[in-house]
Amino acid sequence: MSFISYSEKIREKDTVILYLGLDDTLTFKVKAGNTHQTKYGAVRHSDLIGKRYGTKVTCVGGKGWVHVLHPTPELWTITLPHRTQIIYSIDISMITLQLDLKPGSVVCESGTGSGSLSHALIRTIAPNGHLYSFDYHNQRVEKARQEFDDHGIGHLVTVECRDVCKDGFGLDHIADAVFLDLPCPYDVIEAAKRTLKAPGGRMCSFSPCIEQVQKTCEKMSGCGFVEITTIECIARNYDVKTVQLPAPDMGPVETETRTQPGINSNDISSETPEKETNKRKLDSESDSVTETSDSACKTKKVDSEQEVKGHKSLSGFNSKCGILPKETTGHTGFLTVASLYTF
Amino acid sequence: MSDTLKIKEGDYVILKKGKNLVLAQALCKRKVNLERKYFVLDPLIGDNYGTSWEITKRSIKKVEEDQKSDDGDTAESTEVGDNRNIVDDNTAQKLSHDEILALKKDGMKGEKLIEQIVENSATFKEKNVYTQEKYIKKKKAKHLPIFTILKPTTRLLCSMYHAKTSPKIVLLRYDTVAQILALGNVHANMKALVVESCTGLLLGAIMDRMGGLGTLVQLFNGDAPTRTALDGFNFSEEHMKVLHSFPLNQANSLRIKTGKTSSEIGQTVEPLPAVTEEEKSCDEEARPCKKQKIDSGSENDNQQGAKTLSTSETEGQSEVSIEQTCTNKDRIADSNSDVAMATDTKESIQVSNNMDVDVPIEGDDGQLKRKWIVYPERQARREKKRKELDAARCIIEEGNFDVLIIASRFEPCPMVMKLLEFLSPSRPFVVYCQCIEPLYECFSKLRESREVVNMKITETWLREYQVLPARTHPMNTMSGSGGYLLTGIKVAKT
Repeated sequence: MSFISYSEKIREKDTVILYLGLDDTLTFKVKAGNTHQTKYGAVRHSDLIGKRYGTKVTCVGGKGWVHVLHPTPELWTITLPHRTQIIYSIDISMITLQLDLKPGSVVCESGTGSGSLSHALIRTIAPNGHLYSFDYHNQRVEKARQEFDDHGIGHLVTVECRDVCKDGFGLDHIADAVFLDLPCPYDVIEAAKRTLKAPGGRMCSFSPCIEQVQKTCEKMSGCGFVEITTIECIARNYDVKTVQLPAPDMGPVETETRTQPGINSNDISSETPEKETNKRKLDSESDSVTETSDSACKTKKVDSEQEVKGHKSLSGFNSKCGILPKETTGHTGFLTVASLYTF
Repeated sequence: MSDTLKIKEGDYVILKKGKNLVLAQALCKRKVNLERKYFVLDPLIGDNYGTSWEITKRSIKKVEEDQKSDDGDTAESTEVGDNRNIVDDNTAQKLSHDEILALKKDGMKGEKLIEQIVENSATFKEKNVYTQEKYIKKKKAKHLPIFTILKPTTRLLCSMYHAKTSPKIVLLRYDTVAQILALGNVHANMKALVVESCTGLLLGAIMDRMGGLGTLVQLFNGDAPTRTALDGFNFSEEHMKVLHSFPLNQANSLRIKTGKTSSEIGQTVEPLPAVTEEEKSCDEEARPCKKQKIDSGSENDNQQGAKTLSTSETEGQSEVSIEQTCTNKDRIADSNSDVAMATDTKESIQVSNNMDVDVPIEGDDGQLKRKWIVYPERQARREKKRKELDAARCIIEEGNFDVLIIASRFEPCPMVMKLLEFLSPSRPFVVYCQCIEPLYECFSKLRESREVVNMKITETWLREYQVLPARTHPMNTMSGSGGYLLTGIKVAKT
């Protein structure tokens, strides 16, 4: 198993994702003999070894089952243990596109944080690119390194404990793209520029606050960056449910006539033009007149019956709808992107 | 990487003027059109991407770094003029349109021209400094014909196609493309199954992320896939090898197989002469039934077609030799083209043109029969086409796909339900649709199948901001919709 290539069967030391329900996932490293407790019961690691990813596993204790899934950066993002606020897939996908990343790209990022974005970047630049990741928190750096190794992607990333605001990146002209997720990205623009390859490249900065964005844009412009664009994207999640709205009780529907069946002409003047044309049509078809009159009579009867009972003749609204949740993720941050073509 | 940043002849390039992006091929002496100005791109071949060029009479001239004017967004003001006395009645500018054109003709350009226009504006001085900046910016955009030359990337191509021809790409917005690539876990060395109606734009984006490694099979509608958008990506021939095609109208005949890998099957198809003879013998059998062109849709043809289809299906299941199944499928595939059937080695008529000729010959019973003679070039093409089709079929029927992506103008539900079987368990699928309602049915059917988990329908709200000192606000217009995505993960059938 690795985050950059799929494998079919679960093996010892694999990191797996247990799927319990929508956005309800957990992760662990498989070790024979261990057991993981879930709300549906226990999952024995030994039961997983040799099984195919995607299999349903019944939990010990019989309260239910879970699915074992192969890890991907997207699943990792919603499962990983947060050590810092993380960036979610909606922004990650936009960052990857805006930085023009593909296999072979070289990227610099700061800070590493919990590694949510890092896993996605590595997935995109594999098998021959490289990620240089910096964070000033020693423990986070250690944890990230460990995770990258466990996930089979350690060879594609170099994590360094460094305060890039003070000390810069220490890399000159090697990157195709730079990503900044820092409290003061504007202090790092000059240094970040130096990491970009000589012909130029792309830069992206993620900031929750508009003041940070303003300062960053100004600094970028001053350093020779062009095509500076700030965007925001927010995802809306729909759930699909059959919605039944009962018909409102607005009283009985006005029936067409209350006269005896067969006698239609007298009432034409009191009817709406629409019904009039219908009636005329009926009259012209000699065969069907009596029939329809009969059926009309029947409907009248039914109507009056219904009146008596107080029921409606309409069935209400019954159809599949997309339901939006009551509350949803709103603003995460602004993404500012820019290009550099000349030094 | 530096050499890839030089413009080569034949490259597709993007001309950027303001927000306008135009895709063009850099060919010598070939004129391109940017905002109704026509010019050749010869001067920029061999130069760097990212450079700016000024459009002169019929050609272009490079704008050097020091000549570049700044964007002019640096105004800072404590004094604020306003528009209380400004009346918009078109009398403010003293220079008429003709006069400006005359100035341009005389050679005045760039900053000087703008200065002239500003000087001759009666109301300019009264304006707020920010308004003045905006005014100058607008005049520059109108009168200075300068563009930047850029290397096409997925981001630029998606933005361009969305801005200009979005119905041709089923209104797919670039952030939705970004999400398809991320949620589908598109990476190098994967096996992807794609149905798209984006003239190849989504294919290109996926291939770009695969970096030339892996396999991508496209199910296309009609006789041949439309892939005009692929040109813009400048993929090498080597890179294009990841792409395979298979007609959507044969999708229902696909059955997932276990056993033979595509590499094993590839070997049995190899010896070309053997295949040709097989085909000829099959053709001769079929000939009595096919007197006229296949696509005339005569009764005989249809029956024959139906027969061969069922034969091929049973053959497929018993894994009979590929050659036989090839020829039957070829017949079906060819039914849409007007290449006809029989070859008779005895008849070797040399003709100068490439047209298949209808030759009346005397048959055994003295009756005049008509024969079609197929020429070697065309035959070679058909052979190649058949081989590719078979290879694609083998690849699909092997299954083990890592992602299923659908972004089509057709109803998504039948495609998802059929193609899901070729996806491995614990792999994502992504279905895009312009409207949300068709996805409801997919969602329900998939939920009932109990073969998928983590299903979501999402839509993205995307907004751009203007960030300027004291003038930061979201843009006044934004994209209405980027379409909807249904995503999920396939699991083992329970």
